[in-house]
Amino acid sequence: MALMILVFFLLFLVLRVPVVIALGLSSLVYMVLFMDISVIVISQQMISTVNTYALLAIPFFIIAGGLMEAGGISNKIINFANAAVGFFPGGLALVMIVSSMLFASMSGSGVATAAALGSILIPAMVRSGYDRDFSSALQASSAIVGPLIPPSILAVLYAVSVGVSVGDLLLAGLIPGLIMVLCFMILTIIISVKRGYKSDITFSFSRLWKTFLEAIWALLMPVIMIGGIYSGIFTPTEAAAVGCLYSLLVGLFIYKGFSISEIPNVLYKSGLLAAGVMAIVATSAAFSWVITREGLPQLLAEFFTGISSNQMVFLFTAAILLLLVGCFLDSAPAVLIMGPILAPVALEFGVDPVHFGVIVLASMCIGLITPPIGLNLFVVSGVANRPIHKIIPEIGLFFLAAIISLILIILFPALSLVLLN
Amino acid sequence: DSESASTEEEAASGNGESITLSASSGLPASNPASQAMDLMAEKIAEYTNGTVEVDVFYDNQLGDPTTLVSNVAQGTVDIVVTGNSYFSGIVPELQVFELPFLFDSYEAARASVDGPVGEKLIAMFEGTGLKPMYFWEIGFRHLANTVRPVKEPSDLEGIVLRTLPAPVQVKTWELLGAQPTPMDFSELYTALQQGVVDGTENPFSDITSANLYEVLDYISLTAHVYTPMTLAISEQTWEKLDESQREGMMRAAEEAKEFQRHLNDEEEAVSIELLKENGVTVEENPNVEAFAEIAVDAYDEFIKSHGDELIEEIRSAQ
Amino acid sequence: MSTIPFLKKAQNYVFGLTILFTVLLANYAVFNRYILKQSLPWSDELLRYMFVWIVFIGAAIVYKKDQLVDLTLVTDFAKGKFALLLDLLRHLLTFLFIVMISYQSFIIMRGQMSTGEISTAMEIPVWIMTAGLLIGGCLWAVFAIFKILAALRRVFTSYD
Ligand code: NA
Ligand code: NA
Repeated sequence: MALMILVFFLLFLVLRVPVVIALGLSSLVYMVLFMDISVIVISQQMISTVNTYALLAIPFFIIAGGLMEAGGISNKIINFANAAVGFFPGGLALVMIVSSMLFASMSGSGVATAAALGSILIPAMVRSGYDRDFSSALQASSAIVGPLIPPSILAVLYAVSVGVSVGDLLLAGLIPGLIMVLCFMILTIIISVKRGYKSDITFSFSRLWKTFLEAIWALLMPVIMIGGIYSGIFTPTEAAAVGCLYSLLVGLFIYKGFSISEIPNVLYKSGLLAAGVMAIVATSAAFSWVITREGLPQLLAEFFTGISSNQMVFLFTAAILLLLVGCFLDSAPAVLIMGPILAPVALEFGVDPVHFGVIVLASMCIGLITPPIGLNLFVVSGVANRPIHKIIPEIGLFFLAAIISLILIILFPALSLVLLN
Repeated sequence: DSESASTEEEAASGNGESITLSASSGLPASNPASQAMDLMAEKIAEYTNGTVEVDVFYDNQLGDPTTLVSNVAQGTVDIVVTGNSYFSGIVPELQVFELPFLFDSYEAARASVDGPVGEKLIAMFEGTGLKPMYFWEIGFRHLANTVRPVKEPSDLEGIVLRTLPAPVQVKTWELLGAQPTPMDFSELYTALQQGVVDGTENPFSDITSANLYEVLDYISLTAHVYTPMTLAISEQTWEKLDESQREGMMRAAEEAKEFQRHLNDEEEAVSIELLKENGVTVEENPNVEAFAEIAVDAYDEFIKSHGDELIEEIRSAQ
Repeated sequence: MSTIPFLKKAQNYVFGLTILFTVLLANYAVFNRYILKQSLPWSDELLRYMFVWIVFIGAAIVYKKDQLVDLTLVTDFAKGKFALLLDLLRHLLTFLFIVMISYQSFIIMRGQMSTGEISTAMEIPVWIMTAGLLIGGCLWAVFAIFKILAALRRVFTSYD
């Protein structure tokens, strides 16, 4: 019965009902037909989700992205990146992966990373001759390492809900995150060679130096944000707002991408983008609520854990289960729902709790790019102004690369645990 | 809607049909409140001959505490147990439990919430959609930080202390010389780790369940505030139950209350050891009298809007 | 007709300046805590409440501009009158949902007004935050009506 909510959701999507409405409407229809609970819960969930302090990082990072784009910061970064690695096949694509890794490790959220960088880098890649759908898929995928590489909101959520050491789990995610990055880079180089994404520039040191000097104010932004977080001046959520102010000032006074009178309009545009994304987060919370209330995650967990008594079999079935759940739930509620269900089982199978935490996080990261509910897909679709179904085919290979890294993470616990000893 | 109309016609109590209820504490399954919730669900089934079943949800599966309270008031979740501060927007008099150094022992605090004071507060929920059953507890709050051992109020000088944004608490810590800084609990671990804040004041259960001892260096057992939890059922749900079901529920809730307090006592003893093992220096005898003397001025914030009747009643009973 | 572009410009300005205010407020809070050593107890709460308003009113505007994320995979293949009917249907479904959540947020608001629930830090009525969904929802519903009327007009003026 609970699966009917997914049927409704897909039906509304096919009818081209906006994703934000389709999530809420399928919850509404399901509740009216199958549940004896007032549908008022949908509005309650929508309000309480937006009214969550930690989630404010998402709109602020999107707004910062808009300011960086309008203020000319993005152009300086791209010029510099081109000078540095642009002469490689797929150079700019590699830059996207590396900057996503850096950016995600500041924001702690894969969605915010996709939003902030996507609005800058996707147009830049398209201007440099890359396919728009490939660029969008790459952005959606490369941002998923955010929750693995510390700091990570998701790691804290998991560690707290399951009762493992937050510090250990944060550290344990670093190498697995870098492995995922490496897999994406190898794949990108292969694709770029095959498709002939090459560059019309040759390497020149003077050019590198010149673009570096021009880009210094832009490159300082992550330094200020990371430095601010690690020196205890502000929290990751506040860093997003500091990034907004910084890019506002740099765009206004240094790169002169806009004038004072243009500020409201720039903020209006990026504010709308943020509102569209947050509205989806809001209705997806209502959707998650219904699924949870109907006990769907527990049912799936019972089914999967009943399969075998072998540790590896358990880990792989658990990963498959998490990937399936990640298809339909946002990563934060998914971790909160599945973590406490699976962690005790993992302990019975003799799995290291920190290692299992990393597996859960990695699986949930992949859920950000799996349809039908992959928040990174929605975000990138919004910032790149491309229909989701055009992007999804390009996701396939990156999904595969992510799965390969997940398999490595499962097979070799040392990847997660080596830094702890 | 047709359902609520029919319950109104039947006035006092429902028809006693079999019913499945949802309950949540918004806390991990291992937390004493969640374990007591499990026991309560078991006992409710037993005492109502299986006519009332309770599905217990953990963590924020059904929403964070703020949302849960509003869900129960609107009848979309049936039972919630969570910290009093989440109810004090609805019954501001509950802020009396935010006043520092009001109780000097667990016995006194528990007797107070179980007695006439508790009953008076429960009566104030009339018409809010919430029917409190009993007060459970989060427990006494203690002062922890990353800078220096705190024995006297003067040791708090310049410490950036995470508090709830409630005016009484902000006032208390300002008076004591700290820099009170409201911060979302979800950011507290990293904020302590990176030094955005230097300290926090929490009950043991928060410090252990959120692993805060990993990033804390000193704790003083100030026991400055006793934080009860309110166990509340939705009035809409209550109206659907008949007399015998209601009696069974109250009996189960009371037994679960005793169990929850017992678990809290056990956990406190274990927590102190856990903190010590993790290198946290424990100050067992801070100068509580000196703290209380300064902090008492924070009572004015409360008395201004709610009078001193409740405070006097609590004090005279001790 | 000349008032319409003016109103639109005013709307953009108000929305943009509201966003600017949230950015400045969040930074001011950091500045107060770190430089002035004096934390603001109310800034987190004010930011959260403002974003409830910004998100739902903003989403309504994005809907008006036809820029909400959707899936055109199947509807791309629809032709002629059928395509127009599908377009009408999706706006009707949107309208249905929005009216429902607006009504429910009104019920929530009424409840919060009757209990007099106040917020922790600013100690202002909580219904002020909930009103963000109600106002955004009503605006969204109005935009949906315009789109439904436009879709109906297209259905009746098209010939197969
Ligand atoms: Na991260
Ligand atoms: Na997904």
